[in-house]
Amino acid sequence: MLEDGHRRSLDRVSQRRTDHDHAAGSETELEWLRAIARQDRTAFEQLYRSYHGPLSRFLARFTARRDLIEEMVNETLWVVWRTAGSFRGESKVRTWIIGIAYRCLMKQLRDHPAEPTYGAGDRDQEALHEVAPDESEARQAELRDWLRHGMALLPDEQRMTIELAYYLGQSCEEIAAIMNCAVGTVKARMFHARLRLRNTLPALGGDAVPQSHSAQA
Amino acid sequence: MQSPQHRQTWDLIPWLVNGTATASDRALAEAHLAACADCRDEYAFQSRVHAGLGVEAAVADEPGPAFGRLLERIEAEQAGQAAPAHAPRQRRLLRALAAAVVVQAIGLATLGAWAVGHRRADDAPAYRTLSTPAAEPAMASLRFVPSPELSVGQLQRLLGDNGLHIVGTNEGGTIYTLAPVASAHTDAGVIARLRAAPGVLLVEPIANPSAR
Repeated sequence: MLEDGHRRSLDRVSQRRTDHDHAAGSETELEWLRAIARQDRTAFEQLYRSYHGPLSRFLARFTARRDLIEEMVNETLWVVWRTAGSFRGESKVRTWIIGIAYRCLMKQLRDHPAEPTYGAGDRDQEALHEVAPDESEARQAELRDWLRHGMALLPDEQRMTIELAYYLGQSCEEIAAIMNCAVGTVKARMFHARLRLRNTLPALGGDAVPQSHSAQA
Repeated sequence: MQSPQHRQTWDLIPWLVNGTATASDRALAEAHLAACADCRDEYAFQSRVHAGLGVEAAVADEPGPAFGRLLERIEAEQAGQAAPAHAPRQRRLLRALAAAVVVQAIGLATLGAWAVGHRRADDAPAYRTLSTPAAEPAMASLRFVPSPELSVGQLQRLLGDNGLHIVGTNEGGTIYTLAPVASAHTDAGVIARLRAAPGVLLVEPIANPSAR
């Protein structure tokens, strides 16, 4: 039988996903998209405000330049505005929009390979820690720093797979749709990313990982 | 030797951690996790990664100003569409050239088919002119949105290199419907190449899931 700690952890994650799905309001987003297809600007603004924060924070993990982040967010939502009528419900609205953002990001990474720095957007958060240091926040900052080094060593596709799964909470099948590849390819990328993290993170301070995080998630 | 359950559980761990594994996968993994210390260790490791990456990385700006700038862009485009009499000469030229691309693609397709002698008359590629409204053309396989910066020459090369031609467009001339010149469907390689090309914002297959 599974240990209580692990079972509670699994239950908590499952519950969080369920809550998240409800909170995300898939039906509401679908209604917004249908209205946007009819050129409804009120619905477009609602969807824009709903996605601006999550997309900005996701993209900030790959570049520190706020102008580029806004450009990518607006490019993504401009495509949504122009093509909302072509959405046929083959995926969730959220997955469809993340897929567009992913393609904007990949173009950005390809066109300006020297500019993005993995986790550069964390500077904002680090500035907050300097203002109000706190033990749990310090542990989080340490863990994030530890991970940033490990993630920076991953190839783009593997890093993106991990981010889509762990930061945006996408399933294996949803990531395949976003990255326009086979489910098997996602599994392979995840497999190799995990191996690399396993091999590189201990050398970069894995022993110092806060143990309090081991039972989380 | 590792059991099949061990390998399955190992592969499922990320999806257990992010809560997207199916109920049956979860049940399978839970049973194995209870008996396998290696998998429990990996589960704990991935949970730490998940917890670390789940921390909000940056503070997003207030969306209002950025939304205002996007609306300005949209309104500028719509103003251009609503007043065709005042449209810039460049836009008319672009549309004329886009139509020329269609004619050129059709001509090349017909010539090629005639030369190799493999094409029957009833296999000739279907097409629509840009001014033809209503339903998607029968051969339509892709919906294509170029960025405003994509030049006509670049568009011509992109379509020619991938064996595609334009069979439809929206009123504003910003969204194109594409079809393959010679084959019955567009393969995934073509879609991937288009998506990877500079100046392409969206490429989506139409109606044919096998094309994805």
